[in-house]
Amino acid sequence: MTISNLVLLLVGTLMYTTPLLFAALGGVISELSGVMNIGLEGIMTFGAFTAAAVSFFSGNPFLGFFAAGLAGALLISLHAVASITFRADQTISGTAINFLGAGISVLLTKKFFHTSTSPSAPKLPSVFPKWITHHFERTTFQTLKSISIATLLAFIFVYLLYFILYKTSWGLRILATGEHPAAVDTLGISVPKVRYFCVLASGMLAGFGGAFVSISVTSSFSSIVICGQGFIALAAMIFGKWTPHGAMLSCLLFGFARECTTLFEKEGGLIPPSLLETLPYILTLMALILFVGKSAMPKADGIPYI
Amino acid sequence: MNKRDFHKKFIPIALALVGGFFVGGIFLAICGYNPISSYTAMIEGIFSRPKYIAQVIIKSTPLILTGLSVAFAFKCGLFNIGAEGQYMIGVMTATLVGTKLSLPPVVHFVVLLLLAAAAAGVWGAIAGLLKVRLGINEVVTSIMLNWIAFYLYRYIFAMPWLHVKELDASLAIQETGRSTILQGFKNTAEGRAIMANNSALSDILKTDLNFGIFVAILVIIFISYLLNTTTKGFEFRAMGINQEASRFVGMNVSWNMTLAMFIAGAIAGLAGILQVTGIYPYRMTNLAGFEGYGNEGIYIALVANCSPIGCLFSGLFFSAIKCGSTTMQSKVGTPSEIIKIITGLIIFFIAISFAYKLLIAKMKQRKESRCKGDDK
Amino acid sequence: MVGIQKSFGRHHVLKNIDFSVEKGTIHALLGENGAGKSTLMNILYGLHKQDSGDIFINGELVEIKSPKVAIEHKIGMVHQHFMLVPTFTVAQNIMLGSELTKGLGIVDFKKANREISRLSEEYGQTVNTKKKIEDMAVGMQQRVEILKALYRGAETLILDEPTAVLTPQEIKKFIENMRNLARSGKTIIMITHKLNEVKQMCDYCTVIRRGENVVTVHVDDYSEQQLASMMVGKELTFGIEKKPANPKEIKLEVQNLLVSDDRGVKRVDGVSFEVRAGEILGIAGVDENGQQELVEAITCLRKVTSGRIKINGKEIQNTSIANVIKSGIATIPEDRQKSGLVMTFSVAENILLKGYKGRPFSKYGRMNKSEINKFASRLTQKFDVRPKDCAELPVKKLSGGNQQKVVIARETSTDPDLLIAIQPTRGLDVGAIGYVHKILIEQRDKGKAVLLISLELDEIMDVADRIAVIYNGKIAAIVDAAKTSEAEIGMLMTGGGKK
Repeated sequence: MTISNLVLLLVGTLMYTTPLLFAALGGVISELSGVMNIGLEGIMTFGAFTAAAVSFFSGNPFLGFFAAGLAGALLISLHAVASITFRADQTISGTAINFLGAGISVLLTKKFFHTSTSPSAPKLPSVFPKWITHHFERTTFQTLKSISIATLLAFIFVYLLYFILYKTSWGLRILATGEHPAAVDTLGISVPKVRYFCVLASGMLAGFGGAFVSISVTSSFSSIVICGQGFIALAAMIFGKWTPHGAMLSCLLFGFARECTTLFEKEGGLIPPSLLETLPYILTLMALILFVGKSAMPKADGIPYI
Repeated sequence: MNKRDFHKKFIPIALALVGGFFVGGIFLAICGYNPISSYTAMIEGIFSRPKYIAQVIIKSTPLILTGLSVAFAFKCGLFNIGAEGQYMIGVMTATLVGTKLSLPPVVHFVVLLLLAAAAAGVWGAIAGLLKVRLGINEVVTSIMLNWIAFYLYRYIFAMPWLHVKELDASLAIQETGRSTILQGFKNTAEGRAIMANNSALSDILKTDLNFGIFVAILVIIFISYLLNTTTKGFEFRAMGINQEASRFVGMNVSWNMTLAMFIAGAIAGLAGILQVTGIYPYRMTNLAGFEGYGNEGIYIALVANCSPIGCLFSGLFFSAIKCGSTTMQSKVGTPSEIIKIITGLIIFFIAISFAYKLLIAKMKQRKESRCKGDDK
Repeated sequence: MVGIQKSFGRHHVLKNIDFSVEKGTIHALLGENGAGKSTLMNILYGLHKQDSGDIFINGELVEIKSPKVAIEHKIGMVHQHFMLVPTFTVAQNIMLGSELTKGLGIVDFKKANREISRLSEEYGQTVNTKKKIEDMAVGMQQRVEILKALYRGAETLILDEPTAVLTPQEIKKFIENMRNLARSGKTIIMITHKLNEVKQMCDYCTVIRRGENVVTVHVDDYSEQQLASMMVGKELTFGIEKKPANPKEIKLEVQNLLVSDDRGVKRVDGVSFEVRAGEILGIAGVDENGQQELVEAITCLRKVTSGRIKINGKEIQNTSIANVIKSGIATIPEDRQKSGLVMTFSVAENILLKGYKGRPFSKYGRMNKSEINKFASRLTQKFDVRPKDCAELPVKKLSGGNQQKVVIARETSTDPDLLIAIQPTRGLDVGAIGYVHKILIEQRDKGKAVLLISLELDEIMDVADRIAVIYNGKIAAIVDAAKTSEAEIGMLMTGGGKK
């Protein structure tokens, strides 16, 4: 394996990891406050669409990226209202979000662009400024320039979330709300307020994840760009034991496995590609079987509080 | 079920359906499509020709069955999000048995049906077993298993002994293994003559007529019978409502859970089997992504309130609006994706049906206090 | 605080109650289960809203809309089920909601630990602030709850059944602590139905009965017996009529049993006893002394570390629940809604939850609804389950007492050799309690062995023939119910020796 292959492996791993990481962090914050979020997939889809459309019309990928966060928060507010105020079954309302996200995104694509794929939109820039990437040209490190700035942002969010959850009073309240909402209530803190905040933040993060797919990995939106990544993020969150750093590690593991399969396919190995592609999923399944007990889940996760 | 219970369950669902279409209509209007002409075109696309009606029934089979699979799992206290994978395993195994095995008519189909349903059942039981033995959430394992099934499907599909390059499809299932009706007859001279004289019949015969729907109805009857009159069904229902109590009275909850997931898997597999044996071209096709039957099963089960017979109607209903939406798109240009939005809205309204209950409770209270006021 | 008064609307949980507490005193709020004590205090703490009536604090009319307002008025409450986050440390739990921060919401854990340690020493409630709640004994957790209130500057402390979960030593220490707090000027309201504790620690006592307040008295002026009759509303006739026991062969034999809890802590430590046909063995003890683990081991819900459990001479430990049931053990569980009943099933289905497999109720795996309903109607009539003809009604529509009757009907209908009853009268009204006791004695007279586990000493004294006292996972002594006294049992339960 050459160095340029290793670099490629790193770049590819980060590329696959980033959208999952955004969404998984969204899952973490929502579920730690006690609201299950099975709707990540729909939010990501909607985020991907919004980012592509806004980036296309405004010509500014950053605007697209943040619009996607906003759109995610907007869509998930339905889930928040259902599960917090109306005490709905959170699995059901999450499923509704998945349908709405997919439906609205494709419908609007057809409305705006009259096809099922949006036109090519400006992409988010590289994490390295031009004068650095300039030096990479025609070296083994040339692929490094395709690391997106949003990837950096995702890892910053890991730290930020970690800090908020475990070092600040806000975090203390969020964690307590997910573990023992009645205790929080009796101390005069509003359980719904904490949960609304967390669910909306979750929508924003998952929206970012979707945006990354449509304006960094690819440059357009179609109905298949997200293709189950929201559910993988959900699994990564569980595998990461509902912590930001755990989610990061499991997303990296997953991204790594994905990139390995891509590389092996190129090289053409003994194992047929489609079997190889099951690797990330089998790996996750094995990891679940070997390492995960049922204990890590927040005690009040998924249970409406009256 | 007495009348009041029925109303209690039916009204929120009816409200959700109405609400879904209403809000969906508003959404259409905002997007610049005329909701009334769109919905009219949709209804025309369902009822205006015999062919359309036949189409609705034919396309409802996989929906009814995946819905039933999810509903049955729900009744047992399990969430079967893995119907998608089980469906694919069903299609795959059915194709293998249908192409590679040569047996007399009827026998071939029955063998194919049993083997493929068993394979899909085992696929479902894996998630059940992992939950029971290791306490891993069946939702996560099912998501993983869906993807593994997907790539396994693509792997088998690409095998040189199955793949037909020119069509980019697998070999076709032998006629002995198909579930079609009158497809042979259609092409005989006699058939052609009859079709020429009878336009309605010829219209219907042009569709992929098959007996899948009857199999689905048989399965519904079987599951209803299982749940409502057998001791095993009694255990399943008890487990679905209160696992701890079931364990406490000595029922083998672990085994029952695995078995329930096996049954749910087999039903979802059946959806795939009937699809590949009943619908032209009777081959595995190249899949770029999930077909979505698994997810559709979830809402069909929800709208049916998890009743097996309810799944029949809810499956027909959604098949109808799906078929209607294709006509709508081609006739008035409204994107068929509005169906997804309406479906999402319906699920959403079902989810917040607690709010209806709150509303009703409040109204009652108001009435009571008014009555009291009259007394004074 | 002067003059709290409120009444409740629809459910009539509280009917026009007056309640006032003097500063710096310990005031007991005495009443039976369901008398409305907790509701009253939840209103004071802002968890419920009263329909009418006013609350005055220091003579000032206040409206307590939420716990936040209650905290602002320096009221603190320790709930019966602790409001502590198990995965948090002591310090995190105490400061939750009013955290010490360095600005920007960043928690100053060092300062918080220091602050809380200081506070805990000031009130003589020493705790390790860095320890996690889930690793602490119940008594310590209660301290944390009290500190939580004091940290918020509470002047008035409401304690809901504070001693129910404590061991005898902890109770002693607890009483001492409360005394100290009162001396330092705090006001303490204690919800309880334990008379001896009222006598031991309280200055005043308000008795509530069925949502109406009966009287407020100076504790020293009244005897326990007098307080008790005020609480129940009639002269107490505790004794239940029963013939002397006629014990026969050994049905259940427990030998040197060792059982650990989920975290691997040894909870049952070398327990041996036997129960004979035709007798009721009562297991008395303060909560959390190993009763739960003992019963779970006998019913195979929990693995046994070592030792033997024999029913009719056959070993059953570490087999399966199904095997235990087959061997002839029936159990009336502690929490009927959680583990005894399938709430949306009909009464008939619940009654047959165990026997559905046998004939005539099912044949070749097919259930016979009419036989089941017939059988269920017969049992509901026999056990007087109300409303009449309820066999096809969902069991959730029945009252608590009637639900318990359904469980008892099922468990006795299998004709067991041994009937285990765990807290069988918890949350029931007086009439239903008497009925349950009668059934247990009836079963005994039919020649069944009965094992009764209860936290209510009165219940054990009334119903059991022999009493095994469990303390700290060991059987302190087994005594004859007719020849013992509450005082003796009380001593044994609290770790004291036999006199």
